[in-house]
Amino acid sequence: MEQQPGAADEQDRALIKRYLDGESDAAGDLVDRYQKRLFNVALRMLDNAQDAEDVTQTVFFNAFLKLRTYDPRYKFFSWVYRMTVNESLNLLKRRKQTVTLEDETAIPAVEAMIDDATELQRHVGKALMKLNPNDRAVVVLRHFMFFSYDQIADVLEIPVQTVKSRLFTARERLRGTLRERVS
Amino acid sequence: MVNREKIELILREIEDANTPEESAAFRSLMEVEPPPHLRRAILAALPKPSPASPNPIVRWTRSQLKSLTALTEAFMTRKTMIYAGATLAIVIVIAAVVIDFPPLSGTAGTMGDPPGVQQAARYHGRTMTTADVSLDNPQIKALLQNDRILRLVKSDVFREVMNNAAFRELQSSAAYRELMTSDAYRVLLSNEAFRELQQNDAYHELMSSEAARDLQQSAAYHELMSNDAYRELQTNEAFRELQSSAAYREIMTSEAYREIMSSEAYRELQANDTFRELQASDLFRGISRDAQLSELFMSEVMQLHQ
Repeated sequence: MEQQPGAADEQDRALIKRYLDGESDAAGDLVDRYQKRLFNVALRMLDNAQDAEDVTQTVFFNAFLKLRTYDPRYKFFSWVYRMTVNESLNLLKRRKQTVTLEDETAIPAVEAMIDDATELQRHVGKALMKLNPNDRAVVVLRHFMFFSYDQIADVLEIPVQTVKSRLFTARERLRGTLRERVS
Repeated sequence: MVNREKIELILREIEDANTPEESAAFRSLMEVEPPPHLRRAILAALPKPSPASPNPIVRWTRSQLKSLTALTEAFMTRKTMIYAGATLAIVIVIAAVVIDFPPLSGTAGTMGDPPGVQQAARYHGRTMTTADVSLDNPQIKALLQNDRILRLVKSDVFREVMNNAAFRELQSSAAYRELMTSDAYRVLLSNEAFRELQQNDAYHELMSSEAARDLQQSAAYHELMSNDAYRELQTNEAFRELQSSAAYREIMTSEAYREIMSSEAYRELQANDTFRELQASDLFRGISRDAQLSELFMSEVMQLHQ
């Protein structure tokens, strides 16, 4: 069952306060709350479980490093999701410098890294990778994290209108790719 | 083959046409559990929380400053900020004229009209030392405020390393700095096995050898290191046991092994399933254990080719 955003924010703030007050257990609780979700965002953005692990770990490290200067007026969840998307985009850029477009199929995909990966996940993963990374981020947050348009705009720091237009373009392309694969 | 029904579910999800139950089904289909070691790795690499300030006055002042900043941000519009900035600038200019700072009438080192020629004045401050530069740098200052770090940098062993020309050369290399500041290296530093390895004499001996350097520079080595199967093999208990056996080491360093490894035919044979089956069979292993039997087997096989 999903939590109400307001209640979740309160819980995040309480955990951050506990951590800053020296309760190291609170770090584990924060990691438990977000680990799976951030890993899944990174996985869908990168289609590579090893890279997704690295990104998740880096995001938590940076978040905890900056917790003391974190302004509680802002939502923790938006902050960590933003870091995850940005870190994934940066990794894709770095990867693009060494891998040409033709070689893209050689990147170890989800199936190589996850034992119980289903055919469907591979299929969707490949279709997502055909999208432009910025469009992919919108699709991942909307359809895999079930964010509202406002939440996506908040996380990606773009206007709601841009969210909608990116989503429109991405859906068209995704639909085409998925149908193509079925037929 | 991908299940058409599931694809339809995804397509409907993209259209926002799924019912909440269907969306939940889609979600459970697509969600991947992170590997169990990830949580441990995240927590192990986390920076240690610095203790909250014990001084209540400092805490109070900090919170007041924070609220003041928030208040200022809330009430000051962009326009107000521009006006306030401009007013402040005017006040500074007027104050500068009134108190004559910086001295505009100073004529030291100039020639001509009143008050006439005056000897050029040198800068009278004391010469800057390395210590001044270091302590002016807030990052270095903060680092040296830590007692443990201060003790470390003052230690003989640290001085010895710092005086080492090779270390200085390394330090000035951009690649070394990039490596030291990389996220991957930071994660590695918190790894117990890595720490243990770094304290191991044999590891140091190996890393300082010419041969290890040559190996690390070879493209084949890099290719091997990034090979998934090889990485998997390295974590295999049986393989590790094999590697630590004297017989394995003897074979690996033998000339004959090097020669056979460069043979195309041998590589082809090794990739052959039946050959692997043969090697794994009890019969063949029994023959191989006995030198005479082994030779006999070879000659039998050779005869089959004639």
